Amino acid sequence: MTTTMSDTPHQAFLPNEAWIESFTNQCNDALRIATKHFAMRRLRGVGKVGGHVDDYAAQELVQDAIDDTLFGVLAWDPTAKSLRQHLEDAIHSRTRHDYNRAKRYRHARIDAFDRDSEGLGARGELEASLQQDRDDVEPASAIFASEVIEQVRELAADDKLVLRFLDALVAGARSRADILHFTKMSLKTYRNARARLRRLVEQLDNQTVAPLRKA
Amino acid sequence: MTAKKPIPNAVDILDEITQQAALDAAEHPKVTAADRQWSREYGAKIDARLAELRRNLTPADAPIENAQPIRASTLAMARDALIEAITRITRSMGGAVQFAHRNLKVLSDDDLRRLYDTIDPTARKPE
Repeated sequence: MTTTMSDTPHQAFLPNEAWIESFTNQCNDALRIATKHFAMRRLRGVGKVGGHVDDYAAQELVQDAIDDTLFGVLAWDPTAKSLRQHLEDAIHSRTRHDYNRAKRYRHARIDAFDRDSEGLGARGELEASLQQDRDDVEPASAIFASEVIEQVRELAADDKLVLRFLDALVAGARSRADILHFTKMSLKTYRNARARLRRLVEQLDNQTVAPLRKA
Repeated sequence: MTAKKPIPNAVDILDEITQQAALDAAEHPKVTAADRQWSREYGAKIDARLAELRRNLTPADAPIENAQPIRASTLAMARDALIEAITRITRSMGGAVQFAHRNLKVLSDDDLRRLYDTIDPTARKPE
């Protein structure tokens, strides 16, 4: 799906001056580029099951989230969360949808999802998405996910920090505060562990997924 | 972490692993020239939309205040008299009267008349 700034109905969206100022101040090059790299990593998770992943897909995902915010399709309250957090939540939700869709239709492009199925009210989109997915986990998806988690654990066998980090996620920790609380890590150690987990995920991607994509 | 949170299934956990990796990728991006170009070009479109949103805040029927007609007595004043009068008002009122023009000699006669009529404290009294 691609939306452009000119083909979306937007007459009714009238944010106030404070909203526009907040958006203007936060939506800079650094935020857009960071969010694009966030989106790319999220999409590569989808890529494990055959989704189409490239630079343009990540850019499009970011642009869709920003455009939808600028046109009021996706509600953002600047007093509740930063623009970066808002965009990450939106992309998290949308790539999770893509993941499930790609699992069912292995060769479907990840950008071909149905806009109407997203619940365009958008406030609480992420929570609604997570609940929907929890209610709708197919056994094959669960088995596949378990296998991938096991592979990550095997790669991290000698890395106690990453294993503790994984234990926190298995126990249901989601936010940084949750993970810090569970692992008793300092913020610096948490960031270090997270960076190492990322490298393991990329290593796994290179070992198991890239050859499949080429095949 | 509260006890009310649901126990995650394998799909949830894998999703969270991807999420944590993505958060790290966002914090430490390997920025390319293509990234910068894309962001710059897209940023221009965002700026245009933000300008549109700002314009939308202005009421369509906002009243436009027309300038008052210049007084006949001011229209009759010569250029030197206008500059002298403006200088006198500026000095007598100190910082209470300010305008953008430092060199009055570059203003046209009509501009001087408009400026004098605007800053003269007696200008709004009926003649």
